[in-house]
Amino acid sequence: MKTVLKSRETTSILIILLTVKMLFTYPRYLIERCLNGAWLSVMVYSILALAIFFVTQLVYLKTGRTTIITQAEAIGGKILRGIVGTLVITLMMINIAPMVRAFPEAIKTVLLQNAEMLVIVAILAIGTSIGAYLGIEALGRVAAIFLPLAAFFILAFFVLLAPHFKVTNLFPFSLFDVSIGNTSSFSLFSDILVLNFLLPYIGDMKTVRRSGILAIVISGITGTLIVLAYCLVYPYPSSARFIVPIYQLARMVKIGTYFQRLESVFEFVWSISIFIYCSLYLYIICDIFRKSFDLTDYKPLILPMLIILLRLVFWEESYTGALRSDFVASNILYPVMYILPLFIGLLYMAKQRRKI
Amino acid sequence: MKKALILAICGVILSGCTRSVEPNDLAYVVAIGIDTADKPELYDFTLQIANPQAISGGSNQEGGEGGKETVSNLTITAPNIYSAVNIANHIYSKNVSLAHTKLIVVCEEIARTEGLAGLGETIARNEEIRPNTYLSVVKKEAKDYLKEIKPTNEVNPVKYYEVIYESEYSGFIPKNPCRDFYIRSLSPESENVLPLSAKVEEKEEIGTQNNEYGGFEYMTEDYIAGNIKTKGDIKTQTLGMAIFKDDKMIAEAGGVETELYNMLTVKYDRSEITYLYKNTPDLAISVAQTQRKRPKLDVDITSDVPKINVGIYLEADLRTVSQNYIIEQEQDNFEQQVTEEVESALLKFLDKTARTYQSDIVGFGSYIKKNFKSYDEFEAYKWQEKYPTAEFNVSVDFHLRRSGLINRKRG
Repeated sequence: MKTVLKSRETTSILIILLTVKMLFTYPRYLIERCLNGAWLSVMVYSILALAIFFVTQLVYLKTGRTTIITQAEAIGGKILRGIVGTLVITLMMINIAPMVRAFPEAIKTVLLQNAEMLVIVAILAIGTSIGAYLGIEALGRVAAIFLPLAAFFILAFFVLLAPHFKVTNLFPFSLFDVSIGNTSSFSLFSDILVLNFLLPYIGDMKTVRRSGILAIVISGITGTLIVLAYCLVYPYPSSARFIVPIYQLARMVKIGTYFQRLESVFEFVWSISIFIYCSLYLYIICDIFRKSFDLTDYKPLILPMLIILLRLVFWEESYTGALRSDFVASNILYPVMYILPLFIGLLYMAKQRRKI
Repeated sequence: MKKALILAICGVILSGCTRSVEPNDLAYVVAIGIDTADKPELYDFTLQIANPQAISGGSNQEGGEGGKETVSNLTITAPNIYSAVNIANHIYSKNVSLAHTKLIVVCEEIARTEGLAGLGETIARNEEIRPNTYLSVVKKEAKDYLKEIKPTNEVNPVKYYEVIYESEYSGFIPKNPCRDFYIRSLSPESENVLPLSAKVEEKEEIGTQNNEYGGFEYMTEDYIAGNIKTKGDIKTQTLGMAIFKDDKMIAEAGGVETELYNMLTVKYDRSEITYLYKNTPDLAISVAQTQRKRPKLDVDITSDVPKINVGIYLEADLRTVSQNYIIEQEQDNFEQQVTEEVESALLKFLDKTARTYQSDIVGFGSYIKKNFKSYDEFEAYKWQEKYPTAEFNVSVDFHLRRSGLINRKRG
């Protein structure tokens, strides 16, 4: 297949996929479980995710630029290919559902209180569809342009928040909560599975390895900084109460008495990042479905997949209810996203050996 | 496809027009007053609404006394703020918005009897009210205080509240916006304080607030809002602080105590302070004082009685001195005396917070958290119950930096 994603574009895509969670409800989710040690938890699980990716990329080196869908076909024929494809699509939809739900809910709460929810969701759906329709190359380029801007804004916010930091807010924290007691925060980097489906679009394995490692490191640092800033400003238990922590931080930023309400700048970062995130996932989901069921084009799948996704996203009518129901996704499904490329890759390698 | 794309892009771009509200269609509440009502469980909410036309006209046009007022007050009886806003929407000719609310004042009766925990949560939950909105306790009625607000040098009432409640020169009031109030009301590590405001009552015996801190703020009365003797048109005062314990107001402290509180809590920028110099007891030595370094606070909880160590660094410039005594030539002696005065004042104040108020308003509890392995362990320690037995050790590092534009060698 023709190479369509350069190193910078691949890294940008992965960073956006891994960090978008941090811009919404995820820091609160971490603080509910790790309390004041949430920032440390991000650091610990970044290192663990890096270790798992290191092993995964060793498998990729052996299996080449083939996705787990292709590998599943080689192992168990079209039936296994279909099963694995369906499993991956289900996992991905469950993974992005909280994000897709959080964005319109957050926008409705803080920005467009008078707008109909339907209008906000429709705009998100249209934007996402256009992004997915334009394809991975266009999304990669947009991600590469947008990422430095987003990084600048996030860093600027971090610096401007410094006067509000209070080191004592970081205490006390329990090492048990940070590590063993909070394995669910491992889900933060589960989006790295997407890299497996980007393999055919990336030129060589060196780029795959470099982009994966760089994305986990940068996302780990960004995630740690965001949660650290939040913990430094808001001590527990108030830190576990705000639904969108980074918005809460953005509201506090001001430069003198003239430059206030700078959260509008942050809302720009929010909107663009979620559009790229959703578009990427919609494209990947459609592409996996196409490959799993031997279809020629992914574009006709955009609308049906979007409808299924939105149905799943709004399964729980109340957002308060949606915030409560994350147990299955956290503790059972996310580990599968790490294990799947390793497991199928190893099976594929065994099958190849037998053939020889 | 191109047409579909153009339509979709137009849809996204023009979406901002749906349910849009023009700024002129909104009534901006700049301050809210909360008082008890005739019926229990109901409150009198006074919404102080800005008059943008009077503000944009400037003070030279229609603003000010006798002209078009920059604010108007509307009092509504309702169970909570949002019910009051809802009713106001049916009375006022514009939609009432809380997006520019700068001040929420609560009457002392509510603060003492019911507490403000519910108010903190109500404000934090709302996306319109900013986290840096000021909260204040008003002696007597909040509605009377708001009605007497007449910004003299500021046409914009929001700016007026910013100057009063956030000024870096206002050492006599605590800076505790609603974000901090909410955090503190949830946390067992510290108790709350809020600025005290009042409408000046003509008939009251005022101007007699004894300063119990002797040489610190020498010859300055320890005023509380409403008690400063003034003449002129300004009928409102904000000075001193309301002290809380378990979300209820338990005491009030004057401006001098508030200044000491600010020095301990990184909220002190600068102020003009008077000190006793024993060689010139008939004259208060005035200095412009700043706190260049953060206070060093440390709490030792290894024994049953917590031991609290406080280190304060202060710098000052001379303002007024005795004509007959050359202080510039006795800098070390003056610095030593001031150091002793500040140490003694801080010790007395801290002792009062522990023994009299029994409320850790400074927030020493946050410095003991590092000693615990988990939050549950910290909560189980019950810091607020230990605080009244705490022992204090204060050390002050005071330096006279400059003597203004004059430096004398002979009298």
